[in-house]
Amino acid sequence: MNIIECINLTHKYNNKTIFSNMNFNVEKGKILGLLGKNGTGKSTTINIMNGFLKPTSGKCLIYGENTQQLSPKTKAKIGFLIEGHIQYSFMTIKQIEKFYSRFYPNWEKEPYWELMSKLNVAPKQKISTMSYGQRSQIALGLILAQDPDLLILDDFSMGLDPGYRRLFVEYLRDYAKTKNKTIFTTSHIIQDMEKLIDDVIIIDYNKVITHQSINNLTNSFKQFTINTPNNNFTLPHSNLLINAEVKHQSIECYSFCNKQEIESILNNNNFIFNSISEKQLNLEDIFIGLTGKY
Amino acid sequence: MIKSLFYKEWLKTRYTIICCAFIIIASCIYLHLSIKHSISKNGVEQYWFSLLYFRFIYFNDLKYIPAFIGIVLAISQYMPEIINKKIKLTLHLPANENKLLMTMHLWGTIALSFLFSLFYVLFIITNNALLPVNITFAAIENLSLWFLSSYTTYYLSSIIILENNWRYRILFICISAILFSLFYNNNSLGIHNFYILKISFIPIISILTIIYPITRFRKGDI
Amino acid sequence: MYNTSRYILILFTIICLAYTMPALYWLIFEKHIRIPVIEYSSVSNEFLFIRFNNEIPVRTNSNGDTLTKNKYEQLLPLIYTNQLIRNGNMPDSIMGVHTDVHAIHFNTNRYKYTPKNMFVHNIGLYPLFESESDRVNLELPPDFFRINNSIEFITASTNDINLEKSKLFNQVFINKGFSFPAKIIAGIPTTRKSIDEGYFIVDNTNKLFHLKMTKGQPYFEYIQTPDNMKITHIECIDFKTREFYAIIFDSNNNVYVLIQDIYSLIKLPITDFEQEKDELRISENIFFKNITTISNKELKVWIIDDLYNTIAFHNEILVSKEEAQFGKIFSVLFPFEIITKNASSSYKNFKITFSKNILIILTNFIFTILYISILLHKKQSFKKNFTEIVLVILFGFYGFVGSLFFPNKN
Repeated sequence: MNIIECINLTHKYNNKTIFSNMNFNVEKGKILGLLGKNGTGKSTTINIMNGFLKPTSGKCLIYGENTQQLSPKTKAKIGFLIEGHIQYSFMTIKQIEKFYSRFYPNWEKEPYWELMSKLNVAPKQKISTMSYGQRSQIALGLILAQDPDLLILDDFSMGLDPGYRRLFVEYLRDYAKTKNKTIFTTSHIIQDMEKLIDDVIIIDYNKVITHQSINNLTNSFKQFTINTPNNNFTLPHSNLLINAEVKHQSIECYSFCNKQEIESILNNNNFIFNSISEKQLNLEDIFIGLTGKY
Repeated sequence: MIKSLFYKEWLKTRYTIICCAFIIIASCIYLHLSIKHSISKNGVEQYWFSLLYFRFIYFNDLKYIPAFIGIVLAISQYMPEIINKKIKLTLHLPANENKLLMTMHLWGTIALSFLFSLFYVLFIITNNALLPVNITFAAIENLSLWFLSSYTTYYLSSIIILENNWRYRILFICISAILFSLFYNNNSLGIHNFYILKISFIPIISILTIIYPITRFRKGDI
Repeated sequence: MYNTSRYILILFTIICLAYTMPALYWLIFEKHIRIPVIEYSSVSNEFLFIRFNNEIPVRTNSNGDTLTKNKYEQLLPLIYTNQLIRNGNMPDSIMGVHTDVHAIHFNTNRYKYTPKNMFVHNIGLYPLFESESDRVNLELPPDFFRINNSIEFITASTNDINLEKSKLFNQVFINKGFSFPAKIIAGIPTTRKSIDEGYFIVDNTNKLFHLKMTKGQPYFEYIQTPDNMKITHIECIDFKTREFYAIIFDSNNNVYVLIQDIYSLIKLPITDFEQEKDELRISENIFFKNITTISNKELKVWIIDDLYNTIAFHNEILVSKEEAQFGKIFSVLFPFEIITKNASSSYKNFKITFSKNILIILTNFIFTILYISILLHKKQSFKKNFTEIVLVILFGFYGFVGSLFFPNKN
């Protein structure tokens, strides 16, 4: 069952296309990460999904409802984390729990207070005076207490130190997997994502590059180093070799092909090489491999 | 929902409301002293006479206090919503968006009404101690017009604060300033009751203007 | 709700434009239209005129002959008395009567009524002066009265009702058949008047009474008025001649003078006067009275003698603001204007005045065409912008600007 369905999503800002005809689905129980460079439309996608932006064309459905007109019932099923763990900073932890609890029928205050007990904050301390890390725990605690079926997290790692990031990721994954929750998230720190997500969508300017499970991606996408006896050579021409970079007597490139397929591409191009080495990649390397460094 | 939203609005505005209440109390004490001072300076008969026939607004110093209250209440209520776009949190709450906005405005309206009730009571007590009820009634007409201006400034300041686009924000400022002037073009004690009735439609329909900037914000219309 | 909110903002834009744009137009283009001065000469027994040609005064007599300033003033010795004396031109006698400067000054009085006098906010508290005071000057009393279901005197120093005095006056009111509350209370509440004549009060059954305080005692008299006369307004007069107490207006726009002491009402011979719109000027001199009514369209002058009979009459058609060129252009440009300051009322008002010029339809039509062209250019649907098109048709320039500021983007 698809919880999120984005169909032919196109968005433009003042005639500049951010993305066009983007399609993807998120199945129930999946944790999906949206990766992309700055300005490729991650926040735009999140905003459309939360109904804070009307796409130029196409539509995004959550639980079958267009996100432009989400019913209160559906909203109650969505936990939303704003970039930077923004919350009502004029409240204290007690006040904010009291405020939200009345809106959600399934409110469970125990996980919230369990997290809060780990924070070293005074009872009357306002959220505005707390650190990013503490604020992230409050935002997380509130989402856990809300007990939503779908969590939409906009750059959850922003402003967090490694300890809090780890804490956040572990808590969230454990929660999602135990309770069969669906998560759609973005983050600019990819190592964190790797520990959290099941599936990944990588977008570049204007298009979705790939959408598959992390396992598939790490198994199928590899870096290859091709050693050549020549100093002067032209790169073999193939769409299957991605972001090829020429180094001294070697070529570094990425591909979804296996070693044998690479060899046959090179042979077909009459490219003389000594050896090919293959390297397993982590998500961050895969991301760079797919999108390039620039 | 209403109770919970009122709780949030109270947390945002409580210090402003308390400060405004003190301003009102201080204004009425000042007014009382000022009337007493004028009476001792000019003689009570002459003072009454000048109010009756020169119709000068003896509480003119309080003229902009209601509008000021309207503006600071709007700032205290809506500024925290736009800092870091926290309005997104409010709009994500599981309730009809327009109802959420109207409830927030209802809180402001109740807060202003409470403050103005206090103002009325203290003003009447202050006046009745030194002036006849006829003058108080006339003064209340002026005061009521200023209170109406306060509701208008509250509603229109809200849209100025919540508006995301600077061009629209400037447009709203211009509209607000012109509408505001309609409440302040009277320089004599007492007002024709029909004038108050005629322009009371402005604050009443202003309530709904908040929907416009927020809906545009929701659609990403910047 | 979104569209409702948007239409409210369009309405506010229309209000703001209709309030500011016409005001700005008048500020830039309005030229003062000067009303002619019409006097009656006690020397030549004819009307004399000062009309303005591009702000330059042109003095003429009733035959249309142009008069010099000196000649004009010589023909009006009762108005330019001091100037003529200074010039040595003051005649020894006027209309066969020896000129007595003191008598001329004593008998020369002027009074002007404008609708503002009628539409004035009444706080409902009045000082009742001592009419037969031993003092040379009038003094403010220590209390002020009001009439609701009884007459009450409020002592200013204590802000309490003076029960004794209230009771004394109230009894007199009851004895004279006064029906509470009062509809009109008219007097001259100032110490600067020459003499106090108290107040003229219309009771709840439209009966007229005269209230004074003499030696601390109430003086309260019923005044007989014509049957079915409904008094709408009273202007108390303080002419030195003390011929009449007041000018009284009734619901049929008749104007009367209330003769002093004998309380008889004499109807002034004026016609087509509208008390809520027109100005009324009364001036008197030793020989006659000049009654002038000025409406938006016409100026009329009646010269009446001591017995209130008309000796001469003149009417003059006026060019109104609307008929002047700048007024005509205005009525073509702006479908309506919102005015809060009313020339004929001291009340602040929220008044909408619509253009009476048929050409406004053409202007609105041009703006509608312009708006439709913009819709076509932006490839917007007419159906979705139907309300906006109607707004431009109805409100012309204002609707056009409002609809452009807050377009229908959905």
